Amino acid sequence: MADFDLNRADPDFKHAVAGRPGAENISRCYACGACSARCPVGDLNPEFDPRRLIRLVVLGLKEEVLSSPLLWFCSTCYTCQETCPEGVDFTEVLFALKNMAAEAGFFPPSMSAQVDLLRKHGRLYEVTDFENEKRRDLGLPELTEKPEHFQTILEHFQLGPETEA
Amino acid sequence: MSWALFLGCTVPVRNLNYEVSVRRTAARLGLNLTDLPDFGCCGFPLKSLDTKHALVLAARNLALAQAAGHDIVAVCSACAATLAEAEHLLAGDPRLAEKINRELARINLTYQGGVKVRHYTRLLDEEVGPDRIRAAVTRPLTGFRFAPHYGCHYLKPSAIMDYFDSPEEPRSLAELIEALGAEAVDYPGLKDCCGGGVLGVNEDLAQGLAFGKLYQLSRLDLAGLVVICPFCNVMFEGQQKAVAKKHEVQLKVPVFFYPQLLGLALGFSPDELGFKLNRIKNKDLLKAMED
Amino acid sequence: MTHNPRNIVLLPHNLPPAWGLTVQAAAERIRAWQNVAETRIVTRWTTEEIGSTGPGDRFFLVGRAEPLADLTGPDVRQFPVDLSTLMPWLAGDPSINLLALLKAEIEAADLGQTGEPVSLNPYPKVLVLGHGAAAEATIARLGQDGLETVWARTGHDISSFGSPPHPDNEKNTNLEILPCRQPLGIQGFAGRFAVRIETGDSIQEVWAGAVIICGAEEKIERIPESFRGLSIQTLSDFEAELFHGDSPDRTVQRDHLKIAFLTGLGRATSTSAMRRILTSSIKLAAETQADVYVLAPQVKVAEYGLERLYGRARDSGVTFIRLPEAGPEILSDPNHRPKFKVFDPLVQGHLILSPDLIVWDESSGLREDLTRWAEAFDLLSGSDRGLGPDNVLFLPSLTNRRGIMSLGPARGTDSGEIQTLEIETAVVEAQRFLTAGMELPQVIWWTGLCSRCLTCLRACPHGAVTFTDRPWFHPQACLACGICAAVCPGQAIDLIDSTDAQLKVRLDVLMARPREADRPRPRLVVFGCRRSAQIALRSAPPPEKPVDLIFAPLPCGGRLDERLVLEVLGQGVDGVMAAVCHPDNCRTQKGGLMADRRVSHIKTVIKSAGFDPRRLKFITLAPNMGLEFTRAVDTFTAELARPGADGA
Repeated sequence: MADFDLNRADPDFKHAVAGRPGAENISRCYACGACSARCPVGDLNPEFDPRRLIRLVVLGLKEEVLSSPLLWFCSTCYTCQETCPEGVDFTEVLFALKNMAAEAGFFPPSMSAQVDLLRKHGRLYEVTDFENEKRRDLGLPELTEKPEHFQTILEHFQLGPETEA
Repeated sequence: MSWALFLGCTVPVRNLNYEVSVRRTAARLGLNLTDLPDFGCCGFPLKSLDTKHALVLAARNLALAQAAGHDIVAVCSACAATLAEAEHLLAGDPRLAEKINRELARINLTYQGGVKVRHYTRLLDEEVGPDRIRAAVTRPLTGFRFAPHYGCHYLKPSAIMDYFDSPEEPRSLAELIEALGAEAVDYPGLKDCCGGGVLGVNEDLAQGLAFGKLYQLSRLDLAGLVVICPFCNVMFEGQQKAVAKKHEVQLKVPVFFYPQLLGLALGFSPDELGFKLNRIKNKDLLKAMED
Repeated sequence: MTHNPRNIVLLPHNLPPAWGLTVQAAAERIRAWQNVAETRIVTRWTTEEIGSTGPGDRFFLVGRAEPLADLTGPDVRQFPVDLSTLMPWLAGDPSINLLALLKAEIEAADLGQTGEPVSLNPYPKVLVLGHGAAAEATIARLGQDGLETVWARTGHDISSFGSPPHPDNEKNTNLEILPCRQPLGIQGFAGRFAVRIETGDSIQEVWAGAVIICGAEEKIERIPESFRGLSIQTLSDFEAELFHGDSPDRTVQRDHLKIAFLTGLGRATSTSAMRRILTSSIKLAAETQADVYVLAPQVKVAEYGLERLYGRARDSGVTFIRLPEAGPEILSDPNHRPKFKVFDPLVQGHLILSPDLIVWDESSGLREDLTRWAEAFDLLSGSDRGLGPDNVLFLPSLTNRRGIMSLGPARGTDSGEIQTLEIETAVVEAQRFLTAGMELPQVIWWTGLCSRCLTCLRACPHGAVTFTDRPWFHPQACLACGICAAVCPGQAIDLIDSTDAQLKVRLDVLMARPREADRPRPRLVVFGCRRSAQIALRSAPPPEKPVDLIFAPLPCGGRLDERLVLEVLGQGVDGVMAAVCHPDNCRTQKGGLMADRRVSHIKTVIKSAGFDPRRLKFITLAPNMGLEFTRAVDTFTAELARPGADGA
């Protein structure tokens, strides 16, 4: 059983999380546990516990939360959000936490690969002649890519901590 | 009402059977679908990393549709939910809309709000309706039992989806299946998630989620599972073999996209609906369609 | 011409087919019974349909669960015979079951007794015991109603919060004040109490109709040993500094401090302490950069405005940590700063916290002398040692003795809101015992059978029995728990509406139902409290294995009679189950407990006679626990079916 040293906790962490768009309602949570009870991921992996995650945020255990791989195990099924009697919108809270984790440099490698694909192709899959030929065979119109837009939009987007300008 | 067809990233590359069925059934049922070639990723994959940039990507698509004078119909549930959510957020927060428009201005686009976003299945349900579908059916799928799979992003978050069907006791897809003359089966795992959202991060977990449902379905007397989202298709069809192997069971659950079945009932041939691309065949169904 | 009370059976015209009889056939069979005057068939349960009533008539409403609210008439009584509660349980010939049950009801009703009314001449005075704000407020309230009050005023040599006297009490001409060192004892019953009080230099006897015990507040400044040597301040001192004596230096010093409020160790958290802590923590969070923690076994918000305060505290960033009642584990730290270790069940791990300052809630606990007062008055205490049982049915101010109320500090409550309610209810209740009148007794006593052994006197938990040359059962004090009737060795005592004869005839008639010749279902007799088991039976699904169930309702678990249980076992019943209210839900507080003891005793007795004690079972339940009732029966029949159980 782990020990959590509150002396090293960050009391501002919960306010920072509540300041993120979509995560404002985290303060409504009264730990009833309905979310954890219905979470399908929690069924398979008991460590994935929405209520526990919120408690860790409230206690200010920032590093523990943001560095945890558990954050990325959410299947975004929205069951917790639909079940919550207080409207905490936990799926959105988790998106906010994932954003904060990414900013701090914690994210699964598959994610950065996806960003590259979007920058290059505007989609998660590259569309080549091979794909278009299969489409033609079925009478489907050709697909094009417009990566310029995505390069512009994602120009200032970076994963990981901001380096000193 | 004119609808711009939003294909997303996956369907036009990986699920051509879905796309071709959507186009044919839409045409047959009088739904006017237009292609906007500049459509790109809806932004869903980016949400976990940066919700703001994800919102810009979504708003880009909304802006393109608005410029062309269309509403949006999406075939992937995640796309439909992401675009609908974007429209919902921008409509509710003018300051946010202003901020996003500043970003869109950099690519010479603007979004003023008001574009409707619908999943193709919801469009069938609301614009056409089970009764008109039933009337248009020439080859009812009588005697075939299908299990509907709603997925997680079709009805949820319910606040953004206008509660058009209950996430706790959904009926809409079952009714659409029944409109084809087939039987829609209720089963305990009806509302279970496919696990697609974590496939890229934790394969074991994703397959564990899919396994529960597939196992349940494999024990029922079914013609197949009906899905309306490419993620769900990946998990239930694409990953079925891997899941079966990992859990050491036999699974043989055919997976269909609803428009494919709709197309069959409307009289199209299986080839016209891309059935060759479905990996797990249902010989009885195909045989019945030969007549 | 006097009208003889009649038994009239009312049948609904559409008998459920499951009952196995047409209504005509049923009516015919019932008319053949000698003690039934009339059988009427009704289409609807209305008074018009039911027809004429005569004085003393008894109506048996077959197939109805509740009596009719508007069926009136002098001494008209109704006996709903709700077969739907038992019918799902009774397999076999339903017509036999129906008729047997109905017969049992009628014969039992015939044996009902009415006692002679007892005249009451109370002492029209109220005795108030205690001092401080609660006592002052109580006396003022009594003064409002013009009631004669005697105030046994404690508190000359005990420190108090120094609450000011209530202005009205100084002008109250109906008030007599006696200095009181402690109460010594009490005799009598509600309406006529004689209370002995030790005053400064003598012992006085006060005669009163009702007693209200208010107790007194006391500040306890004991900081536990384990906390000595740590940086700790009492809540009062901290508040004084924070709200009144703040110097700028102090505020700055509070920034970047970890401040932990500690409350509720070893006893329940109090709402007034919680209010003070929440208010202080909100001010700290608003005006400083301190990290504020509240450590408590519970966050008690059961009072007006507290939940909102709690929300504000949380939103301001105050962190709440649940403590076990024994307190946090204290780890040693070389820097002599306290290091708390607490298990957090949500996180499933231990939290380590080193507060720079501990603010200790030193507000009043219960005084030790309350234990002596409890003894002096024969009162049951709750788990917090207050003078009131842990039983919601006795809230807000009732005790196990009618006529004696306790409130405020004597009860362990400390909040203004609840205390006002307690005072109001105590005063209203007291007045019931101050006016002369007549009351019907609940207990019947036969002089010829009584050997004056005093068992009833000793057994009564409510002080309702007094003795001269014979026992007197005072309706003013009696709660009809049935304990006296059950324990009397001479069977000289009965409860009205639950006499031995009534119980016996019901059991006899129902057990006369024939059992199957081949592999009979287990026959179980359930003695169940009317408040819980009988109601649970209504929603209880049929058991997994069929059972022949005979249900004998009791007015309280205390009425469970050993002799009856032994007789029933002796007649070849497979098992007997006692089903009563949960211990802290029993309306008489002791009844269920006595039933439990009796069942244990009977088990010992039959074991020594060579019978299997597993043939007896005891459960407690609530009225909405139909499912659990069935489960208990299923478990029971499974136990009885096991090899070695001689009931099988």
